Amino acid sequence: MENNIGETITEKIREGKIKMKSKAYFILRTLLLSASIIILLLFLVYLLSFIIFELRISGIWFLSQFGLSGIRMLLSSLPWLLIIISITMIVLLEFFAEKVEFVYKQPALYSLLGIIAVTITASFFIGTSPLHQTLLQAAEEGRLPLVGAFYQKYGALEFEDFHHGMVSEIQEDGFNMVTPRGERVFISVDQKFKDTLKAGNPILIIGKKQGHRIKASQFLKTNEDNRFFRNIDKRMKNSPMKEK
Amino acid sequence: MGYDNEKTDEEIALSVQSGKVELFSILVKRYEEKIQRYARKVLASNDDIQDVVQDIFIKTYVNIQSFDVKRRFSPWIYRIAHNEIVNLFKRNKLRNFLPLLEPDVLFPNSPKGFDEINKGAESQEMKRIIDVGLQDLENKYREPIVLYYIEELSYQEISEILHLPVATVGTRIRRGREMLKNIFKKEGYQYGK
Repeated sequence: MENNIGETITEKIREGKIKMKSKAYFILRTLLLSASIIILLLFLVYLLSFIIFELRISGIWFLSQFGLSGIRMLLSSLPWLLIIISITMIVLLEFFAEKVEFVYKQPALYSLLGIIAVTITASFFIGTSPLHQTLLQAAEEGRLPLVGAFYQKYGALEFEDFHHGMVSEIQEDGFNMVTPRGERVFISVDQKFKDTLKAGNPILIIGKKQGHRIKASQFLKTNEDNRFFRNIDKRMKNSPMKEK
Repeated sequence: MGYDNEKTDEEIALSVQSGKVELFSILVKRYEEKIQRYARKVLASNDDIQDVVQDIFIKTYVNIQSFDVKRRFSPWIYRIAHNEIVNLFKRNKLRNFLPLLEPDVLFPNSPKGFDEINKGAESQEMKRIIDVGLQDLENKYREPIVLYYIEELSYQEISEILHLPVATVGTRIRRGREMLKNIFKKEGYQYGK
């Protein structure tokens, strides 16, 4: 038994039955692993930044400020499919990263939190940049191949019970609001609003939409960064107003 | 071959990588007994050991170009052995498929996990205990115990073999040791005598 294995293997090597894999194979495999991690990371940042953009532009982000009913609306409006895909990608990324010595020598929680922190921070920066708005606009104008359908389906989702937009004009019994998709709607309000609202304010309305009118049961001036909506404003000026 | 026998494992691996494939038999000779013992202890069986060990050495030869000669050869070959055994467990559905979800891999362990247990005084005793209780020990404790007490590798090396944090290795060895002592006592033996 002592030398059996050694002799058998030497014999097989001599006969060419077992062959060594080349160095190039392992270099290529390492490159593929690195490329997979980078692509996965970039795609995850893209997806998370899109979710953040979606939450902000649709107003879901601010719903919690309406109390319990707002939180209920928030939970039912979150883009769960995209969130589940993102979580799956984080787990996949952790799985790939665990092959790297620097990563597996630490508790998995550290690398998991590291991945989450890095991707969410990067996503926040990208989510607040004009990238997704530009892509959404290109998709609406039919200038975006490949991901155009994705933006048309998920970009600036419209909901039945709440609406986000920017005040465009104050009137006697209400005001006009421009939605992220460029639609102009009239908001009728019973409560006082003239002292608190002015054109250019980002606003979230709770109320059902009928045609181009919404009867607001509640409204909230959102603290959305003005620059975020300035792009919509620019789009409104550069393109003819949409009338649905 | 006589002069080659005096070379370190890493030097021989480099020679094999450079084309002196006949020197691979020296590595087989040096590790055959160790790998056989490791496989027998971890699998807790004598069945198919010969085939498993042969497969481990074939994989070692096939993948030898991926070995970094600046590092130690021993953890590298044990890593291959570990992977082969894990594959065998998977085929027989004996191992957890999601090791990342094990709490001692996911969460940080107590700093005590980093301190290697001083084997000196209890080494012989532990080997006796291991012979009695190893097959009743969970897989996740069995492997670090074998690598530490039988193969006499360091925590750092075991961490490289099992792809686990060093503190997790330490924690598993401590827990495994305690479990073995309990099994030993249950079997009616007396520890330390």
